[in-house]
Amino acid sequence: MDTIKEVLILGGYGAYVWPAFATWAAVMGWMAVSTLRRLRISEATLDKLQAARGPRRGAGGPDAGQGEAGP
Amino acid sequence: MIHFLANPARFMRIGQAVLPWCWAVAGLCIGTGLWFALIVSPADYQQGESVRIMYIHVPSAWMALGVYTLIAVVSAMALVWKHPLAFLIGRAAAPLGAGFTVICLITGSLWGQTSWGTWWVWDARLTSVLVLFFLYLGYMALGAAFDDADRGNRAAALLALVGAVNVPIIKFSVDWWSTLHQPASVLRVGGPSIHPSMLTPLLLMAVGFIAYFLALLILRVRAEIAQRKVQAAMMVGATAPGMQTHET
Repeated sequence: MDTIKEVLILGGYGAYVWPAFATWAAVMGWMAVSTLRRLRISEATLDKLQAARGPRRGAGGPDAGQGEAGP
Repeated sequence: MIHFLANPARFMRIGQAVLPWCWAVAGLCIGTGLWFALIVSPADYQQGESVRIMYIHVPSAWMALGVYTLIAVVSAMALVWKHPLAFLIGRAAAPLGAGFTVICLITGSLWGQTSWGTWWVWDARLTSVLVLFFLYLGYMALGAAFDDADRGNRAAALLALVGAVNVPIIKFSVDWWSTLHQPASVLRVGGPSIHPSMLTPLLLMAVGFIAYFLALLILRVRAEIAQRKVQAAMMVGATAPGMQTHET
């Protein structure tokens, strides 16, 4: 119990150190969550759009010209 | 090399191969770095336990500067060579860079209170980092402010290039002006002045931050490419003869 208290107090600096680490964890977590959310939404929208349009023959697609023959 | 990676399909293929390694390095380095930072490394003889904030503050500051430099470089590439992927990388990196700047500012404020007895002071280093944060916000806002995505991208790229002047100002502000913020103790002429017991976790965290950023950047670029395909497909759909006949 005393050890936990010591870790929390951290030589009198716990009130500054732990909020700093909490902020860091929160922002890093937000970066990952917002990235994954954005990716999921974008790819789901694209999948839906492509499914609605059906298979295309001979079309280059939206990123035509950006394939392996690109710069 | 730049032209080789400017191809979105090739970039994504390489990105997908690199992605698991980025996650692995990020997890390993940040995990080990935290262990060293919070448990193994000693308290500072002057700052006491508050020095532990350094292990997240300093790598965040490096990332804030590094990511902005990356955005400025890809913006120049986008404007000069018209690489569409360069715009996408800039757009994908900006929120992450802004996130690192927020961490840097908040943890710096907390550390400042323990070291200087104040949360904030308008000295050159702190003010120029705050300006960097506003540059990130401006870059993102400008990129999203136009109906024409290309115009928005170009305007944001120009802002990124103009704002790049702030990067050396941040780096050398502690040398050029009398600031409350301490001078560089790691990236300095003559080598680091910090003890290896503190330098090791600091560098581990820095490598972990870079790997974490790269992993998220790859995913964000993938999202941007998907978004671009959606926009292109919708434009094609809106102008297709069949669609117009159907609507009229």
